[in-house]
Amino acid sequence: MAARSPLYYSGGEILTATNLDTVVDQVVRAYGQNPGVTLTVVSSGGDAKFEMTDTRYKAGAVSVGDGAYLPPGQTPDIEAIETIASNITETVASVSQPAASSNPRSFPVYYNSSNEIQAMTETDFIDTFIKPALDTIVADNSAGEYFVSTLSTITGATRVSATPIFVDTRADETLYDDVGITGETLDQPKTVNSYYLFQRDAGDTQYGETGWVDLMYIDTDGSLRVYSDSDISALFGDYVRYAASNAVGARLSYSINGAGTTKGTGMVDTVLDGTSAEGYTQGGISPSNYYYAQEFPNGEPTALTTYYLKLTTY
Amino acid sequence: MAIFTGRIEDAHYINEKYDTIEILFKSDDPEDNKLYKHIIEADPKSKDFQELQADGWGDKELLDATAEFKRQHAATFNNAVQQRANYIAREMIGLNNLRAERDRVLVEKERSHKEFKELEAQRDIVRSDIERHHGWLEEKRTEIKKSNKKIDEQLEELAYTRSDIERHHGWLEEKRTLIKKSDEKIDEQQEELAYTESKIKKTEFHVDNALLEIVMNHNEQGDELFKFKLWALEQEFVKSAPKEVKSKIRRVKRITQGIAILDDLIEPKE
Repeated sequence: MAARSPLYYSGGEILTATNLDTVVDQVVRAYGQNPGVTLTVVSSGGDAKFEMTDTRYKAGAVSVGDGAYLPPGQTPDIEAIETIASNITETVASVSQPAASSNPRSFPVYYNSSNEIQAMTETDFIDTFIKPALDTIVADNSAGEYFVSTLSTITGATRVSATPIFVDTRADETLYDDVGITGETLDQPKTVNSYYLFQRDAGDTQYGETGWVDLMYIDTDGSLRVYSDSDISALFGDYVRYAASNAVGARLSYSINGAGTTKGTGMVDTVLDGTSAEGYTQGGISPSNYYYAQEFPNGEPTALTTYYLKLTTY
Repeated sequence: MAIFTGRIEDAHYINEKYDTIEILFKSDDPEDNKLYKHIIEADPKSKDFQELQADGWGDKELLDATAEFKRQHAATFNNAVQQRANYIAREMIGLNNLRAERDRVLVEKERSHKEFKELEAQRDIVRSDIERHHGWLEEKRTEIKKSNKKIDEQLEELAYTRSDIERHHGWLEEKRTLIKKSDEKIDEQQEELAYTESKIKKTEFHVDNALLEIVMNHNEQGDELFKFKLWALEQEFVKSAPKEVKSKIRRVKRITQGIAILDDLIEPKE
């Protein structure tokens, strides 16, 4: 079982196709119109494999010295706040084996090793057209794929939800400026970036485009016929959806930082990189001679973790 | 084509390992001047990385941009530090003023404290007078309180006695009613008894007469006379009597005649 070189009809001749890129693109398009694996954005309780953690620091509690400032060692440290984002669920469509599998003549024809015209088996068909299409979906920017972006609208794609799948927050260093005699508010975050999930729209049909070949099949009376656009489209659509959810080695699966190809932008969890002691700040003195000090989040923004949406076959 | 292709404003590494690149780009909306971020892995196999390089962002450009980014960031950081230092200096100046003010307040506080002590002494004298009067008043108040308590106790006792009398009065009334009812019942029972006795007497009398009347009404009637004779002859004391007595009984014309013979047998005449 392997990929075959299908026959096609052109200008009164039966030829062997050597380049199937355009046909595979049509399969990709068929997938985009009815994907077998879909992602949904939820407000919480998504699949564990899509969980991401946003980390930021908050100020330590204010220290109060009687007659003098307490040193950094005796002033409470800054603390990390971790928020888990669990906003994506994956649904694999429950698809039965297409009806074409019960008719050996459903699939395109090729020359076998004896130079006879023969219909492909179902496995040949999947290896020749479907798996290459699914590999393309994994590797390239393809119809039906999901990807991440910081934009809110993208031409040729649809934002799945206005709810971000990940929000990077960080201590807003500009707000930590006054210990006074009450202490600065501990948690003062700002949103650095919101990341949204998009799905790429199905592209234009490839029928009649450069590189398109009119594939052929064996009719019930034994004669060769060219597939109609609707017949070949249905065959591709049924099988690419079936294979994406059922065919071992061709099934699609998304994850965060798993195997496969990155889809869209990485999602960076940033924090301020200063140590707690570096953020030590002396504040006011009360009329009762109490001295106030606090440690603030400080330093430069740095990437703590970068999350990537990945797509792979398995 | 990547999402940032042709619209990159800046691209630089964002981590120490130099394996992550941040691309700043504009959206395809010409009216949107905001810069958007796109993070990619510095992986030559990555399509996005290839697109970045194809867009003129090779290794050199990336490193230069990263150095510039760090310089700018350091400058921003230094500015922030400078601002912070200025702020603290301003606070320190304010602090000195506050300390002078605090000293002035302390002197004022000392003076006020002295005045306060004098006032306290005067207050103690007045308080002692008040306490003395207060003692006398307290004594009187205690006496009144005791009298009131006694009156209360007596009133309570009186109320108790009254309630006791009322209770006994009620009890007596109840017993009186019961006795009355018992008397009525006894009267009724006596009446009933008298009636029953008279009834018994009448019945006895009636029974006695009836027996005699039966005897007299059937005294000479053959059937009853015959039954009498049979009965008499069956009696043990008759069976043991002389023959002539039995014969006499067989020949009697009246029951009473027979009874007379029997009577002689029961109690022989002296």
